[in-house]
Amino acid sequence: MNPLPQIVRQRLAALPGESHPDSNLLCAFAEKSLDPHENEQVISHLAVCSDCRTTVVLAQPETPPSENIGWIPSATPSLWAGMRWAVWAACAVVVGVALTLYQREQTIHSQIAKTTPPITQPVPANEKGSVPVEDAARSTKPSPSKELASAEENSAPTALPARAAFAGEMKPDAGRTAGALMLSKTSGPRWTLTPDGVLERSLDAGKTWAPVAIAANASFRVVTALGSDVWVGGAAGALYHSADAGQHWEQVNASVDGSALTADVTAIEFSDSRHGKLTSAGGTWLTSDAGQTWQKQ
Amino acid sequence: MPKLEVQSGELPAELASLVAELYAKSHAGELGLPLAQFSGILHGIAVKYLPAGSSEKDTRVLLASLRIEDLALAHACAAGHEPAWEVFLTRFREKLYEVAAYIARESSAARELADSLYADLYGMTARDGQRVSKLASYTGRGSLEGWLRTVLAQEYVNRYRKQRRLVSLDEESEEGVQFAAPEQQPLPAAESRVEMATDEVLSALAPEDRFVLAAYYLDDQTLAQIARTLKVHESTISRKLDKLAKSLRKQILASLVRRGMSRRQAQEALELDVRDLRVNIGKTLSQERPAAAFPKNKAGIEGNQ
Repeated sequence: MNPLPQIVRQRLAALPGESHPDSNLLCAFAEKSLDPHENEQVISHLAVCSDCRTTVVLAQPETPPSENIGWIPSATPSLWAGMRWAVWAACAVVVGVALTLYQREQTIHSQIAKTTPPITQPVPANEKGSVPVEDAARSTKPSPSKELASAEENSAPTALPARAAFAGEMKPDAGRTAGALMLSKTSGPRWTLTPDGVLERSLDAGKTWAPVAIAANASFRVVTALGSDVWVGGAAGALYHSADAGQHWEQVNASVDGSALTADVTAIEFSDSRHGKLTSAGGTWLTSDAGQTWQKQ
Repeated sequence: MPKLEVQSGELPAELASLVAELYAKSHAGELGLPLAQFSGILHGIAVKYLPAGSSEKDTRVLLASLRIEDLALAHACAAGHEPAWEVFLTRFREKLYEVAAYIARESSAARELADSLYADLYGMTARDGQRVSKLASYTGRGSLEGWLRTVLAQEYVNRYRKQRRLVSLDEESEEGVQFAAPEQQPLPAAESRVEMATDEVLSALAPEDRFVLAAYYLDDQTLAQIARTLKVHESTISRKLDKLAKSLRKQILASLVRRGMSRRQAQEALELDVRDLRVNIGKTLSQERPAAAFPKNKAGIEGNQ
């Protein structure tokens, strides 16, 4: 990064302070829910107030391990800088081990091919040995990001907190490819929520993300996917379902005996395409027909 | 456009239907909060955030933008209603400890931080014989969870500053230097023209640009942290910082030339500081910013709540 002349740092630190915005405004600023004028006021204050800048950073929601660089305000910067290098070094070791194992597996395969007659029966896709790259990768200790991917792909699809991205196109044997995410591309989209409640989709295994327009002014808090079924819920009972991996969305109006879901949806869990439950501040709602009808617990 | 007199003590009758709608939506009744009290809370929020003489439309926009369910829950808790506390504890009890652990990064400090906030939320302190809960200061501008995070972070920052000051005094006492003259900061004596030129250029920057510079160069925040605060990609911040550093240098040089310096003199004035920066960078990074830059007490941060 370009060095900044010290006189600029000195004068930047000497900019006159002003009264602090209250915690409500700082929180609303972080969640992007201030109007432009208020936003300008808060950021003007943040430009001159180290305390409030620190507060805003510390108050941000946790990031997944792969994104969480960590920062303690001016206490031990060198420790964290060192840890960042340690993470990179660990990643390099993992990739190196995976490549070595892959090459060894390839060598073994070529030797087997030379010494055994050709197989006339097609090998089932889930048979051990047919996916050497994945198995090689699985045999090594996964990096934090791989662990995240493994946990996500192995576990039942449950609602995740904002910014925890996961592959939406999960197949019954998806767990077999766990750990191979960095070596092979997944075919389905991945989903995540930004801190301000916007649904985002990645079609390139998480390299780039694009917002998905579902409903104006909707602020989502949870998203869950099972195969091509994607459910997203949020503030004021907002609940949407896509049965085609996000191509088309349908609003789901959950209600029981005329009483509609209006509370914030805080969790969604589906065990299959029809049976699921959602949790809101007002209680738990169950469906056994893909959201056509609901029961309240 | 009819003007709203928000100082009158209650919301105008034109907003009664909106208040009733928000009351139903918030489930405030189920949480034990009467409509009149709920209306009073909304009135207080309108007074707090809207300038006098704001239009009815402005008030509607503000009230409709509030996290109304969270608002009802917080104020029902502040009023001591048990059903509200049950909901609050179900939703936030574990979350608060998790957030405190994330902020404090040390289990005992995290528990102490969270317990302290619980005491404030419950209202262990009394004012005029009334239990005062911190939840009563929540206004629904952001989510309740976000507000709790922010309050925890503020409390942590306050504690951190106090602790730093205490440790610093203890160290001075042990070394017998408590009466010694304060050490002068080894900052270069900048020529007044350089200071003026720098101030001029900095004051012309957009607030967001000043924020990015301060967060990166003064607080040592990472690009990712700044990017998350501004909800942009970190490469955007990286590009912005590069562009700003180059632009600042260029503009300060131009300003110094306008103030009578030759191009070479102006460059030397800035280069001198750059050398100082490089020599002192390790020390500068390990130093605390001057204590005077921070508010003297917690009221400084929460001052206008």
